Amino acid sequence: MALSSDGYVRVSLSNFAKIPLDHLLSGLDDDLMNAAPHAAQVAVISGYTEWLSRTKPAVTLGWDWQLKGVNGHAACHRSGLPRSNIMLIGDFNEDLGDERTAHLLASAVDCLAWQELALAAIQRKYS
Amino acid sequence: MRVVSGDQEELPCGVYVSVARYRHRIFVEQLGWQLETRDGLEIDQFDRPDTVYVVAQDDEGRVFGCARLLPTLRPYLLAEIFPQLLNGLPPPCAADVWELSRFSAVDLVGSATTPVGRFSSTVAIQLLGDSLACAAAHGAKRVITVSPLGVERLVRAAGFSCHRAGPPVVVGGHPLFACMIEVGGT
Repeated sequence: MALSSDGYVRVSLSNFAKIPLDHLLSGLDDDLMNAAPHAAQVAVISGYTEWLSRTKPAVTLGWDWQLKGVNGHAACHRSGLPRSNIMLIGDFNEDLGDERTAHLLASAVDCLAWQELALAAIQRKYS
Repeated sequence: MRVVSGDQEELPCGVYVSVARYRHRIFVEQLGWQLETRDGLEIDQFDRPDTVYVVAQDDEGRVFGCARLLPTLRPYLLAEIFPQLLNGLPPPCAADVWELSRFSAVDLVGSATTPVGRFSSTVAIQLLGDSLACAAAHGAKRVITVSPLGVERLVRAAGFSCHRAGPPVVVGGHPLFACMIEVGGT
């Protein structure tokens, strides 16, 4: 894992998977916090969450989420692609590119148990 | 909306002062940033003769958006004030890397009553695109900026790719990060 002059941390997907990520902060979208309430309006609850490694160089990863109801249960789901300082590299140390990296990171995010920590942070922040 | 750009001398008469007054209202009065001010104007050490401004005005000439571009070959905000955002990297110092700062697209005379209501994402996207094009015209291939987290969404909506140059750091209660925007290959 190396920090490049362009700011990217270049790492293989297998090595990225070994990096523990700590929750940094989470919040609700600003437009949601400023929206005027209307009766019977369908509310979309959405926000963002940020995660950080303790490694040097540090790896930063953030993504948006929405609270959705599925089969009568509300749950947070990632929306959109993650934002990060990571450039994943292939077997020959070649860059996989921004788009492929983002999609691979999205799949990795979906395997993390991030929802509970993010929602707890939001409850602390807004309660 | 019309957009004008240039250094202090190149901007139309009175626009530089209008931008400084607009910045005071946005960054000091609305956002509460602790910045140098003088007579209701927000001007700092990075407002120099070589600084380039990009300004959005309405049909009556009122400023409702601005951006500031600085070459990284000379002192700039990230290098001087926020080097901790760079994950241990030395601040860029290159002719093809410029810094974008003091970006805002908020209509102070519009009818909306909340800060969010006065923020036009359409205007912000256009102003951001014009600002990055202006940086490219000055030789930039990359633009780096000290940003709140939401800026990544805006950059992508404007059709540019970006990545983080380091993790977010909470400064004055607000998470900020260094955002590297590619302007050469869009």
